[in-house]
Amino acid sequence: MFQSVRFQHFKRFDDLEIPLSPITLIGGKNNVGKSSVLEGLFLFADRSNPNLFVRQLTWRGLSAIPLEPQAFWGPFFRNYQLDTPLSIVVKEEGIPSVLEISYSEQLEGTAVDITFPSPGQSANSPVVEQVMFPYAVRIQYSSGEGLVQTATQRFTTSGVQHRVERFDRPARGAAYIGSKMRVDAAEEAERFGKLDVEGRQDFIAQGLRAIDPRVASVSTIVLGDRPVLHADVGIGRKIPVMLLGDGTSRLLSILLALESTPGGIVLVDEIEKGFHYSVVEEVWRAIGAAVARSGCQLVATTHSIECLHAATVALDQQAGAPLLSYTRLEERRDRSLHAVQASVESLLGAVELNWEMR
Amino acid sequence: MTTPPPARRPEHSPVQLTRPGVILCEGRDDELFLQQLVRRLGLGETLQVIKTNGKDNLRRDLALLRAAPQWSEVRGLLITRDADEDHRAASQSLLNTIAACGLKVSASLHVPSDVSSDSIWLGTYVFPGESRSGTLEDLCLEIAPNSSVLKCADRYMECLRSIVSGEGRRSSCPAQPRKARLLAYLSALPGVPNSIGRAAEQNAWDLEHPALRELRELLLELGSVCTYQLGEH
Repeated sequence: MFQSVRFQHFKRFDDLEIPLSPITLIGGKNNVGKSSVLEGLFLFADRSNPNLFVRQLTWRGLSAIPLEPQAFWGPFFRNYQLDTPLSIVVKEEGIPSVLEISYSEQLEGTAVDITFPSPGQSANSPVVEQVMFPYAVRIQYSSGEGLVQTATQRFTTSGVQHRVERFDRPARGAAYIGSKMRVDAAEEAERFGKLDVEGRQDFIAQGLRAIDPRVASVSTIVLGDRPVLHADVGIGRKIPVMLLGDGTSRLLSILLALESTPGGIVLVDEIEKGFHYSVVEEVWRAIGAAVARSGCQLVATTHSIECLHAATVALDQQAGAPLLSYTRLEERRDRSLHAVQASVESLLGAVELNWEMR
Repeated sequence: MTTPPPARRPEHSPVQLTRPGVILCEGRDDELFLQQLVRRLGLGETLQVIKTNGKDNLRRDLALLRAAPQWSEVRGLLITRDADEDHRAASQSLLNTIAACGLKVSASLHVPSDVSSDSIWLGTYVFPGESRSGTLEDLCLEIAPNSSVLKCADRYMECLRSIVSGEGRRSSCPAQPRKARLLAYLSALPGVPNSIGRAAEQNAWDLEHPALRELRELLLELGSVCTYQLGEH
């Protein structure tokens, strides 16, 4: 399990460490960096993916990204300052693992394809000038045993080149569920298929009953050329789960991610979205059960006090060590950012006294 | 299949830290009484009274307070409780709880507490004050302005005791004599509710009474520390 994560020079954070639990809720006002915590953790887990930067920018809604360093890599560095490397340090069983990303401008290592006049063309045809971009970032990952992964990304005339020099597949899987995005139906069907193969598919229907007690079972049905998850709700025919409602669809995405990423980490932005307050406690029980079963960590942001209260009450009743912790990101008067953690005991006190903790 | 039980939902807006000075007290009566006194002293914009779940939960509630939003803006904290039967034991218990939370009471409110990482001034007050045993009820009976009604309430209590004694009962009657005496007093005042806090809102207590001098001075000192700190930002 990831015990803590420390961000240095990453996005909003100068140097910030956040303790992590099996389930960690992150709160705080707008623009303090809650989503950045999730993105940073995902970047750490996604470090061997050539699209590690692009996919995060598109999650934020950027549909066009200029091919220049400030626009492409700048958003990941504190205040867009590319001259200081960013690092994400995750501690696991006391051992730190470090992802460091540094920017440089140098031509060493660049490669350009030179186009000669093709056969039949006059030797006097003008030579196409080739541009050499000096911009590059180096992605290095090291764990307790030393450097285990290095890669370089640089701009070329045709786009971005990702060159792997040393590769090590991350041991822990990760899934990200944004506040605005809907998880691709085919991806969800694939996750469900994985559970089905292992005979664990019933956990999904069981979890969805937190919202809709009618859900008897979930199954994959191919519509056209796409697999779509359907639910049997006792009306004589199965219906696509997404038609049951946003809350059910969102819980389905969360449960599938948790159950199909054993030992990994699932990151959910604004986890309260789509859930009526009356079912939130039951939703948290279903999520708590999935986390306990799969050993997958959950880190989620929330603005909702109902969500925080419900998680505290629901997860306190589950046996074993505390599953939940809450960390609020707080900007002080001097503009410094702090991570303030509240224990489950404190959270229960907050529920009893109705004290504000967000 | 089971129908999910209804979730708990906060009925009122959550309590937030909104002032640079915080007074933690034991219950609703203490909260309303102290709020009235704070307002009378003109410190309503500086000090905020918040009730906890009682002295047995103080350690947890202190931890909660320190994890609450805006705690970093708090500059002074006063923690109150009743002395009950033993002022010294109650004071020591309060200090022990504070120490267990990594905090230390300031020798004077003008000396920052040096153990905690929180740079606040921390004080305590144990009702009825002046190192005596008792409760807020006792203090209120001292500052009850209508002495003839109080004498009447005392005669009623004496009457009750003589009846119980005459019947040979060993148990005390009433079970909570302080509260009974106070309620007997309040019940004789027209238009005043039967609770210390609500009575405070109706100006049923003499907040200028000498018995409140120690508490008034403490609140004024806390207020001045917090006002001074506010001006620094």
